[in-house]
Amino acid sequence: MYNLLKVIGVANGHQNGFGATLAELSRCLPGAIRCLAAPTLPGTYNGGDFIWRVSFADDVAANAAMASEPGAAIRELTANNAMVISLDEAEFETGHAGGCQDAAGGLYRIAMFCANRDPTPERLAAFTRDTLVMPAHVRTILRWELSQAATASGAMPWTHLWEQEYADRAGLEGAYMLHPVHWAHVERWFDTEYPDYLVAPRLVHSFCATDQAILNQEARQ
Amino acid sequence: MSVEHRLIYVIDEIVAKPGKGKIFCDAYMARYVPGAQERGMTLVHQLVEPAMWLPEGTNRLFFIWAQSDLGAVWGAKQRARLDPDVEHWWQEEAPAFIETRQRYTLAEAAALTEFDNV
Repeated sequence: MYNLLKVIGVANGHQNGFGATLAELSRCLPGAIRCLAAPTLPGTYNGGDFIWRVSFADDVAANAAMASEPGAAIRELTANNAMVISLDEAEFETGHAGGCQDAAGGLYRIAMFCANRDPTPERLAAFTRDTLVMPAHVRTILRWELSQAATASGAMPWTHLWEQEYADRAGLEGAYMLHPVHWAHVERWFDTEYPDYLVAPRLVHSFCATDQAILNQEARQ
Repeated sequence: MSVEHRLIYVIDEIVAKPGKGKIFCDAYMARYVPGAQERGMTLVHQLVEPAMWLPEGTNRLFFIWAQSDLGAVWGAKQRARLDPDVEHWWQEEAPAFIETRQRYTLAEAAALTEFDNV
């Protein structure tokens, strides 16, 4: 699966029109396998006002979709500086993925990281290994993907996309934040006081409501 | 389970450069500790091995911090991450005195089951 992701901040007064147009255009994208275009919920951090995420079979299909009429309109909409005040985006092949429970009326969360402090292959592999153990301990994670960006831009040159689905917001703000696999284990890669920290302090933490499973759909196609 | 058993500890383990143990300890106490205390951390021990300052050898120092709960841990982390003084201390000032260092986040063994049950 090849995915396009945008976390979009929209100027006050333009949100309703922007969201409706984005959702309508997204529904018309040819070749889209999964599409999410939704307003973010209060409580995000550098999380913008809208999350847009569309999956395709491969990068060829993604490029064709974005060259189509609705794709061009989406590009034009998100490049409109009069409305869009922040834009963090990435394209990525789905990396590691897991989980199979559907979250009807659930929550999708995206974290965008920039692992740019001494990112040796060994350190990146250890960071990946530690992150991948989280779903086994955080029982509220229903589906998840950990991917590396093929291209990215925005406030940072994002390198990693860490996505999860939960049944509800409590799953993210409760078990995910409270479990020691997070604060006592994986956090060492993010804590600037650890000598081995890897990930830049600025990150994107954003989430929105969703009515369908987005992640780990490869096996179902 | 007692409140003490639910404390979360952070340990800075520092191996000072030869002859620099005392000066590093003084610098840590003067330039790092006040900010960390403002972030809600409590310094409960400053331990030195061996138990004498070595004018030419290397001292190993342990600074043991306690935090009352997970909210305090996340709060201190968030504040430190955004504080340029913390970055300056660890990246610019402290390295002049340090041969190696590690940081650990720990809890009492008896508390692990409770922490896991979230």
